[in-house]
Amino acid sequence: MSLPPDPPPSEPVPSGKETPTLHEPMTHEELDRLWSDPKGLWGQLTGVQNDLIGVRLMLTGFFFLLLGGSFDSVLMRLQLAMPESSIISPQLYNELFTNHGTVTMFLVILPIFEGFAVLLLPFILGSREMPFPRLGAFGFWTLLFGGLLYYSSTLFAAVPDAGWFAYTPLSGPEFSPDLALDFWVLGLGVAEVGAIAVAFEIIIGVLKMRAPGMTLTRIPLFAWSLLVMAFMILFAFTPLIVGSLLLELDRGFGTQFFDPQLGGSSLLWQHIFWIFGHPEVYIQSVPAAGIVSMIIPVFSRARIVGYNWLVAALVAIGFLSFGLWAHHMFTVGLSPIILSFFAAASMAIAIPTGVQFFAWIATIWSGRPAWRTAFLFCVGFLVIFLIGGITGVMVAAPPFDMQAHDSQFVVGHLHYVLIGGVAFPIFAGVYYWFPKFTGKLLDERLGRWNFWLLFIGVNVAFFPMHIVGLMGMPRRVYTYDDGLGWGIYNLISTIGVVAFIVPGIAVFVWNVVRTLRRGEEAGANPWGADTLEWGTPSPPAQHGWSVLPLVTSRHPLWDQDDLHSGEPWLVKFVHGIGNWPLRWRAGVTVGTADGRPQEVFRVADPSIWPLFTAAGVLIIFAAELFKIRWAIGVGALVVIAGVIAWNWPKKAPMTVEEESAFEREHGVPVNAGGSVVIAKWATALGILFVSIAFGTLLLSYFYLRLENPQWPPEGIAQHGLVRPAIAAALVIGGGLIARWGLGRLRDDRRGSFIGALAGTLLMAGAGIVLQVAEHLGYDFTWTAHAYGSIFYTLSGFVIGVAAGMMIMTAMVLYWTIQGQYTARRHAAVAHMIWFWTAAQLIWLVGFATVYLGPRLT
Amino acid sequence: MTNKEERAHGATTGTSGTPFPVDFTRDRRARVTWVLFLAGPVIWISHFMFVYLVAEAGCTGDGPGLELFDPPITAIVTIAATVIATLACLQFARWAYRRWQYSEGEDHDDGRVGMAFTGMLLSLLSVVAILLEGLPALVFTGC
Repeated sequence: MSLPPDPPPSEPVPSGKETPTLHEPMTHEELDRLWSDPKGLWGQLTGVQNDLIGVRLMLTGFFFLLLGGSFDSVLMRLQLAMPESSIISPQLYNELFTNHGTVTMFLVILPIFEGFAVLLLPFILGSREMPFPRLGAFGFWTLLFGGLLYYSSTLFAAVPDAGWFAYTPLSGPEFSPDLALDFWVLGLGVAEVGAIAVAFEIIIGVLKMRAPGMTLTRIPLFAWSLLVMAFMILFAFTPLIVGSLLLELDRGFGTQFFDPQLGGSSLLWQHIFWIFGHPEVYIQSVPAAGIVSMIIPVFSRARIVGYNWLVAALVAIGFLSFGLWAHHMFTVGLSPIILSFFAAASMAIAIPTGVQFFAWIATIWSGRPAWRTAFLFCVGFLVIFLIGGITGVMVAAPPFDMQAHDSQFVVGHLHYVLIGGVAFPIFAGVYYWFPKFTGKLLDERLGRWNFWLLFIGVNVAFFPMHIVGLMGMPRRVYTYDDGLGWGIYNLISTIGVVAFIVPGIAVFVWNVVRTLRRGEEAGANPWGADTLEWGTPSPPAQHGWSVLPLVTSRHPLWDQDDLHSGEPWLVKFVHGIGNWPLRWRAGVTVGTADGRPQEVFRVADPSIWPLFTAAGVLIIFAAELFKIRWAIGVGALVVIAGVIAWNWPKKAPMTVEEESAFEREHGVPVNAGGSVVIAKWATALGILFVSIAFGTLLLSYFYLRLENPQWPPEGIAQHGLVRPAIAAALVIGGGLIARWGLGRLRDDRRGSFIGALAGTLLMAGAGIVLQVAEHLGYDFTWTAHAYGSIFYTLSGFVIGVAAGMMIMTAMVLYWTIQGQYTARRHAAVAHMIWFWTAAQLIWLVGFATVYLGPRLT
Repeated sequence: MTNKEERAHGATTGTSGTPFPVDFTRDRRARVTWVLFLAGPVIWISHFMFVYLVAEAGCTGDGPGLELFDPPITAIVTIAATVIATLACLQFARWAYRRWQYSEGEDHDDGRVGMAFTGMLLSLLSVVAILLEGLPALVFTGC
């Protein structure tokens, strides 16, 4: 391949400076040991370190890619290469395309990007760890267990076959009566829990755990993109979990959410699924854009053009992607005014995407590119993603979409977007960051083969699909007649996959294996890059930074002479943290906007409880799958026990006096018992999560109410309001007593506080019992009509939230009696009160909806 | 930070150390930054969900009481909401613009200038998206 000669990678960076080196104090080795996970099998099971979890998440993604992404697609392409081919049966073909879509959308790209985030963020942001190492471990275990549970369907010869979106009624109990779809719903359910757990970790990591001085406008763009991605995961996956719950209730418990005969709506599933499904595409492409924004400036030897514009574009895409979902439903018969809303939003999202493109091109234009493999993949991304984006705007127009819908044109479009827009940046990211974590450079010659095979292969495989799609070939057909003129295009597509893409991936795997065995040594900063992670040795120490970096620029390694210079008190502070404490893992939180140190806190140690809790989640879902219902209770108990044990307050490893001494000297408070700041953010996100789930159920309620001419259906009388009103008063009153108790605790009147919590338990408990008794007295069921289904599900959710509050209150009461909380330290109690406020509101709105909804006429 | 605010976060330090265990006041000052940053997109999604749900109620729904939303109410509500949302976004864009202009060149270390500029861009993009979605209601007055 004749490419222009590269500038040597060690060529001076734009500012012409050498990469600054790190201060490594005497404590370096000791800190490295302190932050290492235990050795051996036990260490593997209890490990929580970000590099361990990050690499595991990425490997899980690549494992499922090879299993589901590659194997399935080759088989399908071989089948379609010739007309009237009979290599595989129609049933197997259905299973293959279902599996291919499901695995790539849920089990490949998501864990890979979350893995990138967990592995890289502490280094990129200049912190020592992610905020919740144990939550990260829990996320990994649930993703792995979920993927394996889903894949175990092959062992039972019950492979899901209803497409990756599992449309009802095909996926409902009538048309898919065996276990196959339960593997889909429940296996993925476990993985979705994991995805959300890691999203919590990423949000708080980016907002609160950065190097001192890293203000919001100095955060590297990859971290911004991961922040947007994590929020999107929270807002998109939560509705999907609720949707999956409704589908499983239909399948396993006889509810009627999606059966139009009995008041349900099959379109409700499509709405819920695509409220997840469309943002999911951007959940994948937003971090990809982040990777590209990191790599292009480094290899162009130029600062990124339009940093603020790119941040705006990422945030705009994050929001706009939630207003596009019905463009997957243009042909279901929505009214034209609704079509126009979704078409307009689908086209509007091209504006921020275009802004990104111009910024990237301008950056390359302003520099002098070094054509390394990572950069080649970025340029390949620009070309292929642009084509995918343009066909995307085409299908955003309803008249065109009505023609192209469900045809191979859409298959071509989405593969250009997902391979060009997502897979290429992933390859770029691996080539770029591989030396940082292995200390070895991937081979450039093999890298070029890797790139060109994939670049040519993607175009050969997927471009003909646009043509054959416009000729009328539908997607998801296992064969086609001879004489339609489709054969040649399909043959070309198959050649693209078999002759180019498969060898391309093989070259990549070979490159990784070969490099691990005898790769060229990489220094700390082989690319002359600008961001913090390249300031650490390759591979970096377990704790990343002995002395935290001080950031005064958006490109610290290009602009700063020294990573530890700055305001004198900050210099003193970061050196202080390098030497103290050495008995527990100290992390630092910073102000969200200004990046000034806010708190030194103890980061969680290795623990078995994340694995234990993940096993509990698996038991719940697997028990429902195999219809061993009593085991659901066992799983729930395991989860509750796991969460309690996980959060069991540990004695702070130092005295208040020792904490105060550091505060006095350095001006930053210390919380050796655990962070106040991080817990506050986690509480807020937890409430947000519950609220999104609740909001999805409310929207489902109103959607079903819209669709039904009679509400409640004939035979169900209006409900009495007296007892529900008393129950609501009791629950809300119970929460208020706890709030009153918090004030007494702050006045150091622990006895009154204990009394208040006992009062809360009694009063709210009585309210819950009264409400459950009221439900038991009703003579309508959840199986006869969608009205009963949503009535009991929504009520059940609200009661479940209140029951969770009872457990939380009981534990806080127990720990108070044990003497855990004082007027000085009681953050957990304050956060419980936040939860109580949310639970009170949810109770009020939830029961107002189910009791007053039928009365609004 | 007042004593009351300090207590509201669930922890206080002894007299020997820093005055407060965690100084949340700077994060509180950052709230304006976040509001100006996110106002545009939040108004956009609120407008979007509102006009969509009204259209669903008027065009899809045939349940009791939904006659209220039947055409031409759907289109009228959409246009009215579009006007309000557009004006709101423009106002936020103006605030962000002023914050950006007046603080540029000053030595702030919390990135608020860049965030204000980005917020202005987001508000302006939201104006475009809101108009794109709302204006077809001038043509589709029915369902």
